[in-house]
Amino acid sequence: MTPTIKTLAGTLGLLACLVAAPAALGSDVSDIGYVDEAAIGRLPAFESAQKQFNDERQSLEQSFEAQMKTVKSSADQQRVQQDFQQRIAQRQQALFGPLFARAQTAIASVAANRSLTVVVDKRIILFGGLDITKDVVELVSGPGVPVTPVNTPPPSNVGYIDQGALDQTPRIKAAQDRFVVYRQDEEKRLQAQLSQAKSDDQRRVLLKRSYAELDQQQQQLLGPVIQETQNVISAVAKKRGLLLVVDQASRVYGGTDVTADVVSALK
Amino acid sequence: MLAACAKNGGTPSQGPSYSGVGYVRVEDAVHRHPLYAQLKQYDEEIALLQGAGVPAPPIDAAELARREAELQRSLSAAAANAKAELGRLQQRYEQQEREAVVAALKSAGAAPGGSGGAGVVSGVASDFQRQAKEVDQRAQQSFDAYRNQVIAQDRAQLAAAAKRLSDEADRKYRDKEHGLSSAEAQLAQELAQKSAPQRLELRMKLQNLALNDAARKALEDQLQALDQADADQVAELRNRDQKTLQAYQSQLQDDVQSKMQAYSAQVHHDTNAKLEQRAGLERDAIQKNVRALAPQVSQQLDGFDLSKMPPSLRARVESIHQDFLNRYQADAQGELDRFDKTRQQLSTRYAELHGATAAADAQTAKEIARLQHDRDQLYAKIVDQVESTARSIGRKRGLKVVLSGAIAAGIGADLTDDVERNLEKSHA
Repeated sequence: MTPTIKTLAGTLGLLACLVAAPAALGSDVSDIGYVDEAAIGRLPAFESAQKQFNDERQSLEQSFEAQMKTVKSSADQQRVQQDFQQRIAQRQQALFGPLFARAQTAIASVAANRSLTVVVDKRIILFGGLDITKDVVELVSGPGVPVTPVNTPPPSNVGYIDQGALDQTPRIKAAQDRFVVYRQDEEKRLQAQLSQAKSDDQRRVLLKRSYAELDQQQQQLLGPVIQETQNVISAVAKKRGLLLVVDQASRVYGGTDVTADVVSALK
Repeated sequence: MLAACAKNGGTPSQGPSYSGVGYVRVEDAVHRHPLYAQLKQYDEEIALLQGAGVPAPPIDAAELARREAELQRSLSAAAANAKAELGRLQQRYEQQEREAVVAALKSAGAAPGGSGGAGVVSGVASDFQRQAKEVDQRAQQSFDAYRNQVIAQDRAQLAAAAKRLSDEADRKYRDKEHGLSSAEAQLAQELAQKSAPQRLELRMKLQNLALNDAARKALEDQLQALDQADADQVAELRNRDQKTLQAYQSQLQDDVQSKMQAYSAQVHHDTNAKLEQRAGLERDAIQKNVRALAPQVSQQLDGFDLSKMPPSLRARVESIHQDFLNRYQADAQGELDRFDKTRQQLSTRYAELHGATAAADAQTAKEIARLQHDRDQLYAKIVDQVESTARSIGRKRGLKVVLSGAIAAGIGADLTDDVERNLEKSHA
């Protein structure tokens, strides 16, 4: 075969591959980006907000402690606690909300310009992917207002899931509740036994036995549910042609949310 | 080309790595890592020390209870002594007053009848004693509650301080580690750049098909020597960094320990100061309350029919009552003060006893923090091994992106099993 024929055959082969490839291959791996969220958190605006929040929190804590000394009933105590938590949350929202919104818009803007379908946190990237941290930092720190992309991100082959929502599904919740009840009973039993123990060695033996039983019970009660959940997530991922599913906390922008599908399949 | 297509193309389920994206389920790999048993051991040790709120102090619970009981017995004995002394005082003053009142009535020509002044003093003294005792009991209860509260707060403070210091040391260690690791990466990059022309030249020479075996081997050896020289330099720096890190870790641990000791001493000092101050307040309150009982004396005298006595005799009897009452109150106050002093001394010993427990708690908290630190380091090491093995496998398999945060498998290349096998081999 002459070089010309070899080249032609190669080109035809490549074309054949592309034609036969699944839809997933259409989205090149270059559509996965990542950002160092910690680097964004170290920007002066964030650090200054953090310092202000720490100062305000300290002042609120002092006032909370002073109030707690004067409360007379448990209802008052609860009210003071709720009020304190609400104030903390409000201050957090007021100080960080606009900064997070600006950072999120900057990430979306850079992702859209680079045609990324998903941006994840740098911590979960072992190699490859497109690092957009520098662009995002420049946009967040720059004088202008980052522009929100007109279009929503294109479909991504990386899925993500809200594990908190899974914990609320009846089967998982029931298994967790059963384990909580078991643990509480076991703690009561343990405390009773510990109060009778006469030496450190005896206490140690009792504690060790109790932890081993708790561990075993956890495996028995939660193990099958966890395994089943993983299988369901994998099945949903494969059905939707997703490469993998990550935790929602690791996903920064884009991606495909499979939470509803998984919750529905688990019911 | 077609073979490659068949391998990488097809339906998603047929070619797991067709997209060039791989992942490792880090938590699963960590659970099957050869060092996972060691990690579990740390968890168990930490849980044992946390012991459902039961610390393992040098003074064990039984010994502590025995010493507390001993102190309580001493306190009860002091209280019984005070009570007996007050009783003796009461009897003595009753007797003396009876004699003084009878003598006064006799000298005035009046017949002594009923219980006379002795009954009045007896009633006053009895009430005084009862009320003083109640005041004392209330003060003791209030002080005990306060002391327990302060000791509980101190324990919580010490545990929080141990955690804060340990976290801070961890952060400093990680920063240092990151700095050194960046320098290592930079050195590796610089060396690679520096030797790049030489490598290129050697590789070009190796592409010469006309090379005989000996010449080819010589060139390959040169290339290998170049790689080895670079690797040696990086390894040398890494070894130095490792020693620097070990020394830094040791320094951080010493720092945490000395800070914790200073903090523990300060907390103990503050505890004693708080207890001393509170004891002073209680003492003042007792004295104030005891003094407040005095006006009741005139109320008690109202029950005695003084109106039938001539004014001069009445004044005389009242003066005797008041005189004996004042003397009784002064002596009773002295007795209460002595009892109070004894109680203070016993309370101080009690606080010291619990101070020792608080110090033991601090020691336990420090031990937990140290174990937690070691556990975190081991975990980081395991994760690092899992991730670097996944990187290496991913590169060998020609993947373009490898992620570590997968919580469930999809159609990408799952490297978890390969990672586990490689790690098992490397630890065998």
